[in-house]
Amino acid sequence: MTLEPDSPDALADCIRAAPHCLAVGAGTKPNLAATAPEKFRRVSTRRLTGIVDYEPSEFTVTVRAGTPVAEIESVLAAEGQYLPFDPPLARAGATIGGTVAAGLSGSGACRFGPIRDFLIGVRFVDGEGRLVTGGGKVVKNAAGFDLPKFLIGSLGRLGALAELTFKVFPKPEASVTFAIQRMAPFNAARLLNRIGRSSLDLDAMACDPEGEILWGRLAGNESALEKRLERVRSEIQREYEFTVTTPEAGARFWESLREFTWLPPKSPLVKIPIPIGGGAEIEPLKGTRFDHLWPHPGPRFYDLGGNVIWATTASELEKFLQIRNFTGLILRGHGESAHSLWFGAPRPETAIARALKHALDPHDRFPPLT
Amino acid sequence: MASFLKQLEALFPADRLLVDPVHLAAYESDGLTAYRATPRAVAIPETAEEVVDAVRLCAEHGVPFVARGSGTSLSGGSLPVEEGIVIALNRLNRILKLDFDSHVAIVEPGVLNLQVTQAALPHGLHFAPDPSSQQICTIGGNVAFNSGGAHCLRHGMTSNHVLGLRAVLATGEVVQFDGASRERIGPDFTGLFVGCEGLFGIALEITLRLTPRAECFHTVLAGYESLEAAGDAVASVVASGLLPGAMEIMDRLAIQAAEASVKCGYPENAEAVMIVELEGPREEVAADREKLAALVEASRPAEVRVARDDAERAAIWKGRKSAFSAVGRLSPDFIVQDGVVPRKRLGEALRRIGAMSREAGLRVANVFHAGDGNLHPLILYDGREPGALDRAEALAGRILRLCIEMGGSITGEHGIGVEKRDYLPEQFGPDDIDVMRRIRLAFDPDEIANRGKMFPGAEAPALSQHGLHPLEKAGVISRE
Ligand SMILES: Cc1cc2nc3c(=O)[nH]c(=O)nc-3n(C[C@H](O)[C@H](O)[C@H](O)COP(=O)(O)OP(=O)(O)OC[C@H]3O[C@@H](n4cnc5c(N)ncnc54)[C@H](O)[C@@H]3O)c2cc1C
Repeated sequence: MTLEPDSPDALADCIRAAPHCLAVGAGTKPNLAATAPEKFRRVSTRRLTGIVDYEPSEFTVTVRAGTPVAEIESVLAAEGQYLPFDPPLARAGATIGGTVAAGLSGSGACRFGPIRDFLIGVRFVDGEGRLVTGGGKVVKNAAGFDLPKFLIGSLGRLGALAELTFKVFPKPEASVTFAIQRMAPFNAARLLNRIGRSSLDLDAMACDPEGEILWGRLAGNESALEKRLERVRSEIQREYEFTVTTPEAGARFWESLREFTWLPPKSPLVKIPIPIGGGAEIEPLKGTRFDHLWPHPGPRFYDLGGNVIWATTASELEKFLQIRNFTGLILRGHGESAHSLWFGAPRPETAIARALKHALDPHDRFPPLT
Repeated sequence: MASFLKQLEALFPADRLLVDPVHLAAYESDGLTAYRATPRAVAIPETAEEVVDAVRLCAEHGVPFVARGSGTSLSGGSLPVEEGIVIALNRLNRILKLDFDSHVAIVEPGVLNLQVTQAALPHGLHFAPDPSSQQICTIGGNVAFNSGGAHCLRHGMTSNHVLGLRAVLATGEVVQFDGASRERIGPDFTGLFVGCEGLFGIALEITLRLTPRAECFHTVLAGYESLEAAGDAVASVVASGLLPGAMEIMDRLAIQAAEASVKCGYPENAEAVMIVELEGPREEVAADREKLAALVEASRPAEVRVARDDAERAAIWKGRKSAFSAVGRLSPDFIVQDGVVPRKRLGEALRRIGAMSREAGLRVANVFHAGDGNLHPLILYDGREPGALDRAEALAGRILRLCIEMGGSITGEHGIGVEKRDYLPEQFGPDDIDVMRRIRLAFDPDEIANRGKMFPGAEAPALSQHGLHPLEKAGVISRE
């Protein structure tokens, strides 16, 4: 039987009662739980839901960890606000706790930053079963160590998240999406750099290296969009085809990216952080006359302005990542599990990582991070 | 200790290892001039390897060390520990890599904040965190304190702009946390390190994110007949859906001081002024400025000024940026706090600070980052008057408690240091602090890195006088 606590205190009770456990959300990133051995009892956040506190005037919202991202977004939208990092898999049912624990951000992070730039406070249950607070509920706070940041990407291995406080922003009035076609990945990487360095202030940028399309989104005042679009167009060399999508097509595209519906259903899914411009290193031959030498790395998408690749677990890609020393996180394996969290180059083992795991989870109540 | 010092001498040439009390005097205090302590020695490394060697030697002998950048901490963060050494990082001041393609700079910790922006500006990029000490404070200090500035609401603090770092931990372990990507997987070690107040070890190489500088600014100054009216104006801007780059308020005492000091030409007789600055692509700013004009108009200001060019923009900011040192000149001594309150309670907080100030018989000037509720009350007193310092500290304590009571924080950017460590347990519960302690011990089991800081319970160091930082007295920097 899965445990289903309905309050932070109940979560702490559950955890104290279970010598080995792991908090789980809606299962939209199944590999993150599937890789934990069975002895770790699953504690579901299904009933740990709700908006605890929302102060539009403060730009802050506090929510229980099991609250669906989609629900938070609709509450914020009613006040003209949003989470600017487009948390992925919202429509698939992702919870906010799972999003933080997995450390995931979507396309909008290009402009104002990924999830780490918006999480300002946490309440979580540590390995001793204590309900602990880190950070705060005001947008600016420098008191104590930055536990909220440390728990981003901690995969439930350092503690169970109970409550999260985010900074939120006013939602732009309007947005427009454009596509630049016939763009070889190598050139796309260069264009990403150039546009990213300009003051055009793009809201999102993503690149489909197989389809050779670079997608972009501008957001802001309705009255200014037309002129801003013109400036982007003038930045792009004439050899590329520049099209502005209809609002519906634009929304559909970003949604497919965010929900990973551009991949076949149930296909594996990996997140690979790269430096901006790293794409040029990973796709050095694609689109050149050496294209045929390029091993098939499977479907993939460059997102967040070129800071991340979403890909599958294709073995040719993995070899390539090992050579280039990039590591990915497997969110979804074949079926449910991939037998490992990590993909590509091995993660360095450090004494401090072990010591910190021990500091938060001295009795190994939560699964290991390896 | 004797054998430790001998071995230290083997690591550093005599001109880079200060032991003479005359030389040590320069390192006794930081920007919190109220406290003073003389270290055993000051080591001045020139390379990361030398820092690592020094830290490893300290670890081996259990000797405490304090990393020091420019010593501008306002909370006593870089105050030396008497039984330990100071590791001064100013000579690790190389920009190791400027990668304009990846929008990344890799710098040594002694590089000054403003130098990064100066190096990046020709490429249209800048390092966004801009503490008002930016001409003089180091990136290492910014990292340790997660320093802020006037643009935090929109752009975030230092931690939002540090992508990765290499550090020597207090155990002697050298680590590389994360890299040049804005994204990461696994726990955010870099995020944890930033804001550690020097308690984990010493950052050796810091990977910074460079961001495009806004193309266009629109700066408005509005004078009001009451502080509350200015506070309401800020609230209405926030509620409107605009996201300004900066929103600041100054009260009458601060305005008068700034006027006397730099002749900034702010509206005379105003009880408060608000500065709002929009930024972004020019078309975007053009649309926003109309919205802003309507909001400001509706807030019934006594006077409004709109900067027509860069010179006028600079003039508006000059009054704001000089405010603290200007107020400091009104009084022989002062204390500055940087607590945070929820924005909607700014008016109430200011009223109550006003009442506390009258009760204590001490003047308080207010200059603050209104956009994120970050107060900066400046408590003026005369240290020569018996009991004045105690009254000033008591008032400062009441203000910190007020921030906690209102659901805010005791520090928005200056850190806990030695100054506010007794208040940490009022903002956090015992379990919260225990977890922080365990994290500290994971990095530093012998508590040799910046011993006695942040956590309550340590012995108070010697008090000296309050007043302006020596560099402020010289007019080199001013504080926010
Ligand atoms: C006039 C004035 C104005 C100011 N304005 C602002 C402001 O607007 N916003 C703001 O946030 N702060 C402000 N400050 C505070 C101060 O400038 C910042 O905290 C700054 O980041 C400190 O930098 P520093 O180089 O002087 O560091 P120091 O004071 O030398 O050190 C600060 C802390 O960092 C640690 N440290 C230094 N280098 C390293 C390293 N390489 N690795 C690990 N730890 C290290 C030290 O041990 C210490 O705990 C102001 C200070 C003054 C005097």
